[in-house]
Amino acid sequence: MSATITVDLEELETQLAGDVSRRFDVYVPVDENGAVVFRRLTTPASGWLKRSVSLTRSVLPANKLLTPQTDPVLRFQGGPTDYEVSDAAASTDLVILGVKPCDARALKLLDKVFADESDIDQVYVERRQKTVLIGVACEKPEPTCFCKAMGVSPWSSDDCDLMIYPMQGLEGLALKCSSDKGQAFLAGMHLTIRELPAETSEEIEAHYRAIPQPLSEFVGHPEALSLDSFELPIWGRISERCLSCGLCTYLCPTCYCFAVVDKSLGERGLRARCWDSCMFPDFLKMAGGHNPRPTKKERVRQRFMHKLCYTHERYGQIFCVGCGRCVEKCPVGLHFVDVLSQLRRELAGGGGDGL
Amino acid sequence: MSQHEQWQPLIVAFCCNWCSYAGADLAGTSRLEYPPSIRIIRVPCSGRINPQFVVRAFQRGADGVLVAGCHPGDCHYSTGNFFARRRFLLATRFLEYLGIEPERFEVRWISGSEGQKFADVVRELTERVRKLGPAWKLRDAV
Amino acid sequence: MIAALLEDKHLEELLRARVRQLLESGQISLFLGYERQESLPGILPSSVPCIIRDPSDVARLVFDRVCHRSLVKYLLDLPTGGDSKERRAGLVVRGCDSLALQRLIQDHRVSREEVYLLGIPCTGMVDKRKLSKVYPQSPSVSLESILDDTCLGCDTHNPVIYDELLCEKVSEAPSSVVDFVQVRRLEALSPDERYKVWEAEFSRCIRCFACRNVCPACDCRQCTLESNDPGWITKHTSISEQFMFHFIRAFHVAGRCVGCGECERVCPMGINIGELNRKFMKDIRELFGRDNPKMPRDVEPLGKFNPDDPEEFL
Ligand code: SF4
Ligand code: SF4
Ligand code: SF4
Ligand code: FES
Repeated sequence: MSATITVDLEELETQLAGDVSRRFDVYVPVDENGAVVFRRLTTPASGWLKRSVSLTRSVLPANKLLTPQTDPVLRFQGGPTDYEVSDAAASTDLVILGVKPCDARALKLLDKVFADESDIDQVYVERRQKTVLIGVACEKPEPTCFCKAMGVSPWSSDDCDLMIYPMQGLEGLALKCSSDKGQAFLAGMHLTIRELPAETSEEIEAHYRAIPQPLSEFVGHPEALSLDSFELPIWGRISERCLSCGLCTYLCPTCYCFAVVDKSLGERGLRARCWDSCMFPDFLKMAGGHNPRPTKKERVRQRFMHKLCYTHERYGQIFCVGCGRCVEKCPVGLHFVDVLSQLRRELAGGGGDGL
Repeated sequence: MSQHEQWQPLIVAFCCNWCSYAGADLAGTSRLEYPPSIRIIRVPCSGRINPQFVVRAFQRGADGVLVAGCHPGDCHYSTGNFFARRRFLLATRFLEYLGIEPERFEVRWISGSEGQKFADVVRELTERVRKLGPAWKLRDAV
Repeated sequence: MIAALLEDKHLEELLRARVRQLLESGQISLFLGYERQESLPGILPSSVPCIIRDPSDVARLVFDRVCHRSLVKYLLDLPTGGDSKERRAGLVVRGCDSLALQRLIQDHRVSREEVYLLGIPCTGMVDKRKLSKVYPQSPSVSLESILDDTCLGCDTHNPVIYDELLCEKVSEAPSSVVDFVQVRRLEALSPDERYKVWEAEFSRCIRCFACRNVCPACDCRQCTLESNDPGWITKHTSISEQFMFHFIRAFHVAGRCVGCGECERVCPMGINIGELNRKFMKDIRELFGRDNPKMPRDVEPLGKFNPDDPEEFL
């Protein structure tokens, strides 16, 4: 795409906190007691941009800002028989700065779910159109990162509108525009722009390319699971140590399940889409009490069959971007890489297809 | 200050059926004056009052909450209020720890013959809450 | 170097031999223990819960300083009643595990006869976060510097219930957690300041319930958090509901918390919910005079009363 440029860090910082914040809701990563979380940029202390772009991946994926945990659908008022209903779904002009390439790729995957021609989620699509993604290349991946194995480059600008390269030793902040939206957004900030010579641009890429990601080599390139894997005998054993906490799904950038939940406070109420997790025992529990996934075996199998098989059957993609969050945070180490290894061993032993 | 004087705080009172509710009743029949903005919720015993009720009251509009039961030793179920006492010794401290102003929340033993005490407690609680203004912490909205 | 700090090969051999005997003799039908997770490049070693049913699998068992997470809650997953033998389970118990198990026994979720306990006096587990700062580069590091804070403050290193001990008891150091430093710091703030602190903490909570699921004091068959009627909380995450959730969780473990620190360790969002639990420990000790505020060794303090309890409500 377009050439790499540099801009002045302070100038960009001033623009984002000033004029851009008046036109957009700007979200940036901040460190809160050791947890990196995205917060709305309101009254930032100077130097925030430098801090934000140097942070490691956030605990919650950046892309969850487009599918928030409690997402209003409609409001109702009145009762008990006569309700006035009003639309509560909203989209705002959003700038998310500090998006990691894995989270940006996750949005591409979610597009297949929510913005597929045959199956459009209007609010999601609107939000997607109104969001400017400013990515940050990964200077220091976490030991748990394995995005390369999942086909994501930790420096690629492909899935963002603008990409920041926070590399040391350059004069100014290196940036790359990778979409028309990014181009227009950049132009709107009227920054002093310096084009970088092609060699420097290559040097930058080489710098990021050389950053090792040992876990990716270990993971290799997973193939999708076949539908037959549903019957594999080891699901029971794999799932034995799961706590059913659902943390893995809430932290996963490619997990998107929600429940529609009405909440009423007397005469006023709100219907919202709220995150839900296939790892919760009551996820599929029906009104009559029947639960098609009664034990951890069925639930853990669902999580991994969904990522490794069903999404592949339906969208042609494994739904994991190698962000490593489940690897880092699952309290009992029952994460993507571990389960993948166990499945591979099982399939190799049982003479099945490799993963 | 002046706008607070106009404003009537909403007080929710959880009263046990056998003593405190009777005390409230007596206050009424004796024509004792106390702020009309109180909402009394009758419960069988102070031992029935889950501290979550108090949080719920603040969530749904209370500016102050009163929990009232029989004097220790007088519980209709003999020991309900002894359990409640332990529970609310902790609950009062915990609410305060979460940042709720202690002035908004009170536990008192009020017997069926203490109509005057009931009226006084409600009046004092209301005045304290009035000084603080409307409660917004814990308030839920949709 | 660090590996040597983490492991105790001798203990592991004892453990394996004993479990093999127990399984072979039919005294237990399964063993709840730990296995070393497949090692991943650049990633901290970790031991995870496992269930051994076949005596030939005992070689999988390990016991080292990265065996976090209490095992006792897995007992609740095992079928019980009828002719199910699954609950005739053996397990390893450290001090905190034994307290946690006692909790389940007092709550009638597990019966003492069902379980066979291999006690391991424990001198502490390693904090992953501390370890990650030195692993694997640093050639030498003191154990003290990478121990989990909860273990540093532990006053129950030796199991309080067990069927046999696998090694010698260790001396109990006085607990430091009971200084309640953070609780006191929070208590010294104004209500508004405290509210701000908790608002910031709770606003990060994603309600994954890992803290509840890992907690040995959270052992109800049906959790109130999942009951629709009355719906104390919904899936909506308004800050008000976040306060309600944390109020409920903390209150429901008040006087029942065994101080194992697991809830703090598993929380993905780094929320300091331990300071909620410790507030209750502190108040319970001050109000009802418990010698060990961490552990209800008899009936839980909110399940009983003393007519002479402090009177503040006259
Ligand atoms: S796999 Fe891990 S994070 Fe996911 S539900 Fe089970 S214990 Fe929780
Ligand atoms: S499965 Fe795990 S590593 Fe893969 S995208 Fe989800 S959280 Fe990240
Ligand atoms: S583990 Fe942490 S994020 Fe999850 S519900 Fe508990 S406090 Fe909230
Ligand atoms: S009946 Fe009044 S407190 Fe128990």
